[in-house]
Amino acid sequence: MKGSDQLVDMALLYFSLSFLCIGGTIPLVPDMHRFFVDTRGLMTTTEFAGYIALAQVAPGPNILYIALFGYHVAGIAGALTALTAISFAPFVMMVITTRMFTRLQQNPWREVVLRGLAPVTVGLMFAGCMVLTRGFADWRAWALAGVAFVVFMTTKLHPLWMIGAGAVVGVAFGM
Amino acid sequence: MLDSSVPIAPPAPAALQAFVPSRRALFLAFLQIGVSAFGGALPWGRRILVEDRKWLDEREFAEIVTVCQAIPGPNMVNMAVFVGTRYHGIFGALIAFVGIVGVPLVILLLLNSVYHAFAHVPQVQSGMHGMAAVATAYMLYMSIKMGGPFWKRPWGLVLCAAAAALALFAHWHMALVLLVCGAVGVALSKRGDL
Repeated sequence: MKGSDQLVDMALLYFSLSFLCIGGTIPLVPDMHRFFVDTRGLMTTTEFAGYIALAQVAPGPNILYIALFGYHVAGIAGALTALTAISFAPFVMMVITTRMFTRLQQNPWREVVLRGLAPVTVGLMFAGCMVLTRGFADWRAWALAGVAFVVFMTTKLHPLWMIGAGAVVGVAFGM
Repeated sequence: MLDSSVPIAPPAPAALQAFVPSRRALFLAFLQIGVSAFGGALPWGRRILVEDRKWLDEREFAEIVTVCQAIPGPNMVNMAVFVGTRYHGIFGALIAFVGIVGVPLVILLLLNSVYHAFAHVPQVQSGMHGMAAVATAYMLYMSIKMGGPFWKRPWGLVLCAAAAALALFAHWHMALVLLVCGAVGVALSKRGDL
């Protein structure tokens, strides 16, 4: 069946991405977008961005939007598959790391590697943001995002309030 | 940190070593972190593990966070696996993982079905568009905050722009971007350019 093929492919996608999600999963957004929207046409960019926003309003670590993508494709089984696959490599690597924690602490390469990777992960996060702006319907979405960005940069306001305000603005202006 | 309360008598290292939270306590601690974590779990992790439970001290917490950053995966989930493994091995890691992810997952799936039940209402769609715009802005803000010291280094900016452009315009896969740009980044950082 077609649905189960999608499930297997999604599991493979997240299994491979699980080795790469240094600095969280947000830098992987361009790859996920390519899979779910561009290649497979399983959802629109608006739906894709909507799931990320929905996960943002709910509590929990920020990998749960991945479960929503999975749920969209194959229900509960999809959600659990996506979450398990994306967590595989980090889980195994953390269990191993915990056992050699002290040795790793003293390794001079740790700092070098972290510094070297930082610009790359941030660059990929930017790419993810740009991908999401493709779902912006018109200039009003850009204006709202611009204002929100300035507020995030200049205040310590909790993101939850801002996302709530975004929903109110969206309804008020019929975005 | 200065804001943590100073214990009257510092516990002996031997006493610290001997303390092991029960599996139930482990599960509940990470469940509490999971459901309190709105927009970033790390501050809650610090509050619950360091200030409330006192399983880790400030310094230990900061060091574990650095290690969690070097390993793929979200920091707080990695921290759950770390703490779980330390106290109860792989089984402990699973307990802590399910604790931090499980209940929030159920909440999110419920929220999602509520959203889909009303998705045909135009106002719900409008609200979702507004939320998505703000969430995108938040992602941009987080990536800038994460940048750290490399913003002041010209090579850092070049590398950051190159990684973004390769993913966005050249449609390179993550793995390739990380491999190529990551190798350049580590070389630059070794030379002291980052």
